[in-house]
Order: sequence, then structure tokens, then C-alpha cells
Amino acid sequence: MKSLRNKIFACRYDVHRVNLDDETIHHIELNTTHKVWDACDPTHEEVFFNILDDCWKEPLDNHNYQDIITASV
Amino acid sequence: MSKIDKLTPEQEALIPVYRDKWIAIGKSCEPCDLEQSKHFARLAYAAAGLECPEKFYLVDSPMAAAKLEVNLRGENPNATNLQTAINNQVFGYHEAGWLSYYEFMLEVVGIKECEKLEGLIGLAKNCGWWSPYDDCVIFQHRHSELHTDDNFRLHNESGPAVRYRDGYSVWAIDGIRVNEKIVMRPETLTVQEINAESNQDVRSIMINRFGWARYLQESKAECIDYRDNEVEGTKEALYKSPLGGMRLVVTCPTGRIFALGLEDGVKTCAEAQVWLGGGRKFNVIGRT
Repeated sequence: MKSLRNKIFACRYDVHRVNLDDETIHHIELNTTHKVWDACDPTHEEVFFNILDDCWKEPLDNHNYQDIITASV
Repeated sequence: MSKIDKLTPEQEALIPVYRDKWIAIGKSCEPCDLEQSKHFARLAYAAAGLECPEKFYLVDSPMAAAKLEVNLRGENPNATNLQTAINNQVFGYHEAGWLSYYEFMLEVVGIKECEKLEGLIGLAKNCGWWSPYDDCVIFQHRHSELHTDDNFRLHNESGPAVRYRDGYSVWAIDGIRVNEKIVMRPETLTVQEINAESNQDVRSIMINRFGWARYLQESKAECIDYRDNEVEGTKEALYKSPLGGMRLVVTCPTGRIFALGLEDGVKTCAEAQVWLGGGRKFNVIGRT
């Protein structure tokens, strides 16, 4: 069971830079990426770090996976 | 194709449309669309030159996905293994920021190279976080509840700020993560618990929820000065908090009690009033 996260992500890099100048890219980034980021990233960040913190709180010897195993679709 | 150095007015007009569309995607509480997710996962794998496995799982939350991965690996579900599993997850709809940009480039500007990202874009629109492996894909439902303030910070004073379908929750006030007790049962906090909290933001929220007046009383804070403010019709008491800092506790004629923060060095209720007024000394000649 090997994670392919990094390979899946690799295709994102610089695919947009072929036909646009830097100023236009910056303009679009400011008004899409940055605005959406401001609205959505606080949730992402807090959920992520909450989960990382909770990993240390989970009991190590009392996991019942039955509800999760049935999730196979 | 020549280099594009300026958007057309029509393209420019679509920027806020894509911005708002992707903010809505990032905040979506809809359940996973499993068939669409499978379709876009296959596109994402193909774009990376990989073969998509035909074994899929659907779980309710990121924590459930982490437990499932650890279990499928046959590993000990300790913190390190769970955290590794979390780091293997793709954040999908929570990566709406950069995905909004690429979808705009693809659909509005016509940059064909961005077609490689159609899988990731489609997954952000159809499921929660997800995890790609060589032998299976784990999809998640999105959160089922999301509460934020006007500044997009997580905030809910009467329940979890984020809740998943299996009950996994994140509790937060004013963007600061706290625990369930602080939100739901602040009256059961103790002065000892408050004083033991090392995070100052969390401690401040704990005292606000517990009640400053009660906290000062139960923590045996030192009363420096008190007076009946006959002009304002209030009763005032100046306290030095055991955690440092000064508070002016004001009881209004309506019975409401306020505990106002002050700078150190204030010695009397009268000085506190001047400081709260921005340092301006003024004579009250009447009140409405």
C-alpha cells in the first residue's frame, strides 16, 4: 500500500506559465487564489492541526475498525 | 500561440465568478458523490501516468481515513503512523485556492495544459479529502457542519465549529481551537484549569466564557479600589488579576457586569475611567 500523493500532485507545477506573462498571472492569482485562500484556508489549517493533535490522544489499544472496514465501496 | 499579456473584459468579468464559486466549494458541506469521485480519481491518476486501482473506500472523516490506512497496512495505530496517514491525504476542496486559479486558466483563458488538473479539480468538487495509493483509493465525505465568523475564522459558541458525519469535531471560538468543555460547559471550568492553560489565547477565551467577575472572585484577585460612580450610576471595582493585568469590574444599573481590561499601573477606578476614555480627561455634566 504505497501512497501516490506526491506523484499525483506533480502535474500541477507550472502548467499555466506557457502562454501568459508574469503580470497577468499575478493579477489572476491575486483575485482568485488569494481571495479563495483567505476564505477557505483557516478551516483547512485548523482541521489539519486539530487532527494531528488528536492523533496523540487516540487510545492505542482500543481501536474498533469494524465501522470503517465496512466502508469499502 | 502568442503570449497572452492582458485579459479581455469578458475574461476579467469572470474572475469574481470563479472566486465565489470556489469559495462555495471550499465551504461545502455536501456528502461525497462517489461515482463522480471515482471518475475524477481515474483522471487524476491518468494525468500522473499512473493506473488507478479499482478498490475504493468511502469514510466519514480525515481521522477515519487515517485509521483505515493504518489498519489496511496492518500497522500499530500509534500517533506516528496515524500522522503519516494524515500526511498521505490530498486536501481536495480545502485546496480551493490554487484549484480556482487553474480552473480559470483552463476554462476562461484556454490554457490547455491545465487539462492535466481536471481530475484534481473534479475531486475537489465531489468529495472531501482523499488518499491515493497504488492498490486503493480512500474517499471522504466533506464536513457536515462548518461555522465561521465574518473573517472566515472558525467560530461557534454553541457547538462544534466543524463537524464530520461520524461526529469528529473541531471546536473553536474566534479562530482559536479550544475543547468541547470550553464551548459547551464553561460554567464547569475551574480556576485551576484556567490558570494551568499555557496558551494565552485559549486562557483568555476560557475566562471570558467562565466570566471575568466570577474568575476574579474565585481566584481571590486583589481588589485595589472601588467606588460608586454616581454620575454613571455604576458600581466599580478595580482588580489585579493573579495572572497579571488589571480589570475594572463595572456593574450597571441594569445588573449587567462588565470586566474591562486595563494597562498595568492604573491605581484607581477614576484613573481607569480616564484610561478607558483614551487618556482624555473629561468632566461628565450629565447622562442620558
